[in-house]
This record gives sequence, structure tokens and C-alpha cells, in this order.
Amino acid sequence: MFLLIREIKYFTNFNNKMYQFLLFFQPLMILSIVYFLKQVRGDINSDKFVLASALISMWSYVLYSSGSALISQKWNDTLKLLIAAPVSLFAVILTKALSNSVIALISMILSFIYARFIFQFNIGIANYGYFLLSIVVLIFSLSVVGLILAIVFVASQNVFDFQNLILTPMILLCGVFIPVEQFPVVLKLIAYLIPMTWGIKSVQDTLVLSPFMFSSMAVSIVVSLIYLFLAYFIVKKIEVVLRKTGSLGAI
Amino acid sequence: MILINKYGFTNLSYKAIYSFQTIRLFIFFRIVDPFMHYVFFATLASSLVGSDYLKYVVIGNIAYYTCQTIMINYMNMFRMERRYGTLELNIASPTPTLLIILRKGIVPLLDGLFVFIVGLIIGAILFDITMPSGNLDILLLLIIITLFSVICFSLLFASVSLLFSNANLFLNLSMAFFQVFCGVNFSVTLLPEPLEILARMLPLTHSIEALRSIYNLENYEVYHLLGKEILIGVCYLIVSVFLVSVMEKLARKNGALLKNI
Amino acid sequence: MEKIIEVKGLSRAYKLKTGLKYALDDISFDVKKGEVFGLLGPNGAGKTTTIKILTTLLLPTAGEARVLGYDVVSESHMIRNRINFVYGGERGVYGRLTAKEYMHYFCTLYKIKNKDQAALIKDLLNLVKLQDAENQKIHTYSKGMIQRLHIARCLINDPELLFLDEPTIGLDPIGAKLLRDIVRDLSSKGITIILTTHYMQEADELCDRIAFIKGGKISLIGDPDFIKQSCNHLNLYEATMSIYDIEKLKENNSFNKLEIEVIKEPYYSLNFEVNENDLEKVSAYLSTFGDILKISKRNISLEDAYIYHMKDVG
Repeated sequence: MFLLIREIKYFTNFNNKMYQFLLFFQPLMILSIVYFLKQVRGDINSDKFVLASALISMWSYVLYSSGSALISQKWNDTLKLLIAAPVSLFAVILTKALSNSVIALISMILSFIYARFIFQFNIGIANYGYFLLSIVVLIFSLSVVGLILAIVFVASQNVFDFQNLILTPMILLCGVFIPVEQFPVVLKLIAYLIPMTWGIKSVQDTLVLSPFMFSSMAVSIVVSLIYLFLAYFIVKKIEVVLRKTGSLGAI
Repeated sequence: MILINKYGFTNLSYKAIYSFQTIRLFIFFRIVDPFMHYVFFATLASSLVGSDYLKYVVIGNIAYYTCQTIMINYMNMFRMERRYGTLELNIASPTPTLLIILRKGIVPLLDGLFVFIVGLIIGAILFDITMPSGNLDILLLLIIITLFSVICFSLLFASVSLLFSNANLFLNLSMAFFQVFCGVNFSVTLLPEPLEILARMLPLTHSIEALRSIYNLENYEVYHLLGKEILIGVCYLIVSVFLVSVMEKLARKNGALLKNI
Repeated sequence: MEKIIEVKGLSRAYKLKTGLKYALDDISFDVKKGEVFGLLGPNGAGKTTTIKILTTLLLPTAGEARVLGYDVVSESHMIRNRINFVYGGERGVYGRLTAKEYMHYFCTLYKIKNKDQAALIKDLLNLVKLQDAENQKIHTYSKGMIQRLHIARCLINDPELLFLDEPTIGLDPIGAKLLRDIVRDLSSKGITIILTTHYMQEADELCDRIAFIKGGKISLIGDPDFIKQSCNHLNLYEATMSIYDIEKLKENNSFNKLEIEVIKEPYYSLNFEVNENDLEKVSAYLSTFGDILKISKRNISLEDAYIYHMKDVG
């Protein structure tokens, strides 16, 4: 917990222009498009799209911040120091991923503020308690995805080069716009394997107080935990490889 | 001629500072990435207003993505110059700064041309956006005019990047602005009056309307729109030419040319 | 002799939150045609700022500078084609290009006709001994090779005036010597050269005239002998002797800038300065600490003069 607060305090770089854009301005752009498209057809349930705009920004922020959390350390040559530190590498990456997801909340809050006060959308959150609960579940799933990304990117520069390419497909795949249930079987399977899909589903279900909301949250937590354990063992392995060979090339 | 000269300025600029060097990266970022982009906005719009709206949005985004490619990569070239510490070497040469900037623009312009054409092909194959026959010459004219007005606008950014070492936020904001106000996803006529006037002063707005008209998705006078687009391009060109010399002077004054990232 | 650079009351200030900071504070000097002119001073003294202003990349905040008779502020376009510059370090190259491609790129910027480029590039790369590496990508080059490539680049427009800002920084001794030979060669061809360096011996060897610059001001200017003579009041000695009580010597404060190096106990080599120019007296005094094997008055080097003049800096 202490690590988490320190991480947010010292390592969140609000001067990064990319982050500024993702957190503060991107929700505004998506909401503007929604606002004007709404004029084409009036009977639109805007809640879903306010949420979508928040999710898009949250996901982009997590992708760019957590994704590059380790790889930038590799470039600065501080990764070695990190591994030599008494705190385990896993704890360090997890805190980074967690703190980035928490920061990403800014864009969610802003999305709702923009939606309410600039665009005059009605936002019907039926039950704030459940809604907050589902947000916590979402953040957990986002953190786990961020964690996995950080590991994959640092292990392979090749994958990192294609970072931009997964930005939009993930949003589509996780059911932000179109419910996953309507996907073809193969896509559905892939989507259900991503923890974020469940996190997003939890929030969407809670928004309309769907009877499945608790089961969605439960599944989301379970899937996230599975990835968390997986990540734990991979990071342990990375640590061993690093100590042995002194480089990450072997992975 | 300039294209096939192995040691030509354009070719060397591309090799030295352009972002996409391998065929693999090129395929992913010039074919797969635009496709994803079209799908993303097509989904957003059609889940809002219905799937009959899909073609309308994809066409808009094909033009938008072309513009984005040119602007981002043009700016990136100057960022790379700073990163390598070569910007000052370029500026200190007897070739006028404006000419250097203009000639470097050829690479993103060709890139944009490629993206535009590939975009239209993707549209035709995957989104079933087919052009009524006999319009090919107008389409070519439109592509050339659009690229012209976009590159003229991008020149503004290029000149600004002489002074600011990191104009990224500015660039991202402009791209978001274009996404909303150039009629990419919805007709600019939906905008409130003052915003529509603003939209009509941006490049791309008229091009997109003309492009949709060519594809029979809207009914406007194509030549009229293209004429306006050229006029807008020329205006930005004049402003840019003026701005380059102002920016260079300012950059010499506050030492911005020497700032490396 | 014709003045190729005239600087009068030149200042350059930067705005900081705490107020104005002067990188250059009212400096004036001239450089004559054909000279090798050295600008020496600690980091942050204003050497690079001076060069950036003279190469038209930075505007002064006050004062005037003329290069080749043209004003650096208003007539920069007249200057740029007739000068060139090299900054030390590994920046300023495109790693993805080969040396040959890099040279072609700058040939185009310097408006060399296409048909003349190949021959010119061949000559220049031969001159800096990079002909065998011309088709290698620059990111594979060593620091010395990059530096020589910069020299080749800066000769593209056959400049009358060259600015070399720490060209030998970070080079190994052989690389540095190669570069000094090239500089000497260029100077012999009549090119005027402005050089900054932190290596005093290099400056002594290459420069016709030297300016010491500190805190944005020129503190001394003249030929190397004049600069050394400015320190003639210093009495520098070097001695080899056996010493039995080294601590007693160290504590004695009549020796300034005492440097002691052990050769083999109890033999030491000493370097020091005292307020006495009679060798006999110094020798007599020193023998109270041990047996002198050898003692002599040392010539003042440029480094001695530099250290003397910069002693109050940082």
C-alpha cells in the first residue's frame, strides 16, 4: 500500500504530453462525436457511450503507461537496479500497474463530468454502491492486463513495436460497443479469455442492475486472479533468467 | 526523377529519419492499423445510429487517416532531427529553411498518398464501398487536392516544431479536433452555426463532403467543394510560409534550435 | 591583416525564474584571416554560446558581431554558405545512413551540383581517412570516426571559416592526434579556424592566438607565449629528492600548489610554486627536508597559466 502511494506520487508523470491527452482530452473528443451523432437519431441510450468513452481512455492510458513501465526502465538501464532491490520485481510491477489503473480513473471521472455538465447527458447510475464495487473490479482487471503487457513488452521488443496496433482492437474485442455475446464463436472465446472483458461487463451490468452483475464481478475477479498467478510465476522466471544471463535477450 | 535518385534528398531523408523502415512495419501500420481505425469508428457510429451509417463513417475516416498519417509523420521527422542533434546542422546550411521543410514534406506526402489509396481499396473490398463508374478522374483530382491542402496545413505544425521541441499535445489535440469538426463521423451541418463556420475553414471538411458525393453518399457539387478546398490549402500555404520565417527568427532568438530531446 | 570576425560588446542573456542570467557578458575580440583562434575556459563559460552566435544559430541580446564582414543577425544568409562548424560528441549524425549517404545529404543542402557530389565526397572522405568505411552505417562508427565524418561534412562548402567546438572530446590519443593533424592541415590551406578545447597542450600546439573566457567574459587574450608570460611572476620548480618526513613537508605552507608523487620510498618527485625565483635559495631551503637529487626551474605551460587564471572559478 505504501509502495502504491509512493508510486502515484513520484512516478506518475503528468507532464507527459501523451498522458495529458489521453486522460483529459480524449474523453472529450469521443463524447463530442457521440453528442453530434445523437442528433442524427435521438433515442440513444447515452449511458453506454459515456461509459465507452471512459473505458477507451482508461484502456489507452493503461496500455501506454503500464505497457512501457518496464521497457522504459530497460532503456534507462535502471532495470538492473530494480532487480537488485530487496523488494521483489513482481511487487514493483504490480504496484506500477495498479497505480496506473487508479490514475486511469481520472478519465472515467472526467468522462462523467464532461457528459453531465458540457453535453447535458443524463447519467442513470441506479445504485452507486454497486457501481463503485464494479469499478474496483474493473480496476483490478485493468491492472492485471497492464501487468501482463509490461511483461510481454519487456520480453520482446518486437511486440512492443506493435503496441499501437492493439489499442483499438482490444476495445472492440472487450465489448465496449458491441456485446461480446453477439460475436462469432472464435472471437467470443478470445474475448472471454481477456480479464478486461469481464471487468467491463461488470460495470455495464451494474449500470442497468442486470441480475448477472454479481456473477460478472465474480468471474472477472477469478479470471484476473488466474492471470495474476500466471504473471507471478513468469516474473519469478524472468528474475532467474536475468540473474543467470544478465540480459533479457534469452526470454 | 527525384524518386529514383539513390542519393536524392527525399530518399535520404526517408532513410535517415522516417519512422517506418521495414516492410513488416509498413504493412502493419499502413494496412492493418488504418483498417482497425476504420472498424473502430464504424463500430462506434453504427452502434449509435445503425449500420446503414457505416459507409458514411468509413469514407470520412479514410480521408481522416490520410491526414493523420501526414501530420504525425511530418512532425515526427523534426522530432527525430532534434533527437539526433541534426536540426541545427540543417538550418545552418545555405538552403533556406522553408525549402528544407518543404522538401522533407515529400516523404509524408507520398506516405499519405499510399494510405489514401489503400484506404479506398480496403473500403471497397471489406466495407463494400464501391464507386459509381466513370468518376475515377474526379477521384484522382480529389486525392491530389486533399493531399495538397493537408500538407499545407501540416506546414504550420512543421514551422511550430522549429520553436517547440515537443509539440505533441498540440498535435494530438488538433487531430482530435479534426476528428470532431471536419465532418469525419457526422455531417458538419449538425454543428452549431459558429462551429460550422470554423469547420469550413479547416482542410479536409470539403474534401470529405466531395468524396462522399463522388461515392453517392451525399449530394453536393463536387467541383465547387474541391475549389474551396484548394483555396483553403493556398491560404494555409501563405500563412505557413510567413510563419516559417517568423518561427526561425524566434527560434534563433530563444535558442530553441539548439534544444535537443 | 584582414579581420574575419569582429565582435563588439556581445552579450547573451537567458531569462530564468530568478532573473536574467548572462551566458555572455559584453565580450569583444577580433579574429584575423588565416588564424587558428582558441577559445578556452571551463564548462559554462560561454564558449559554445559564442560559437552558436557566430554561426548564426543564436541571436545575441546585445552587442554586435560581424563574420566575413556580414552582420550575424541580419545577414545570416550571406554567412552560412561561407562558414561551417563541428560540435564535439556523437550527435549530429544520422545513424541509419552510411557516411557516403550522409555526405550526399549535406551536399544537397549545401547546393553542390549532383554531378560534382561523388568526386567531392570521395576527396573529403579520403582526407579524413574514412574511405574504407564509406558504406558502413554511421551507428557502427567509433567516436573518432564520427568526429572525422563531421570534419568531412564541414568541408563540403569549402568554407573560409571553420568553428570546431571541442572536436577531440572523448577521443583516444590516436584519434585525437589524427584529428589535430587534420586541423593543422586545414589551417595550412588558409582556412581560419575557431577552436575550443579542454586540452591545453592541444591548444598550445594548434592555436596562433588564445582567449581565456570565464563567467561570460574574456579574461585574457593573446598568443600562447604572451599568455604564458602573463604568469612569469610564478616560480615553478620541479625536483626529485628523498624525503624522510613527508608530513612535515606537506604541512609547510611556503609551497603553493605542491604536488607530490612517490617514485619509490623514500624518493619523491615534487612540483611546486614558491615566492622566490632564486634556484639556489629554494634548493637550500628544500634540502632541510631531505637530499635533493635534481632540481630545476620549470617553464610555464599553458596549463599552468590556465589554472592560474581560472583559479577563482567554481
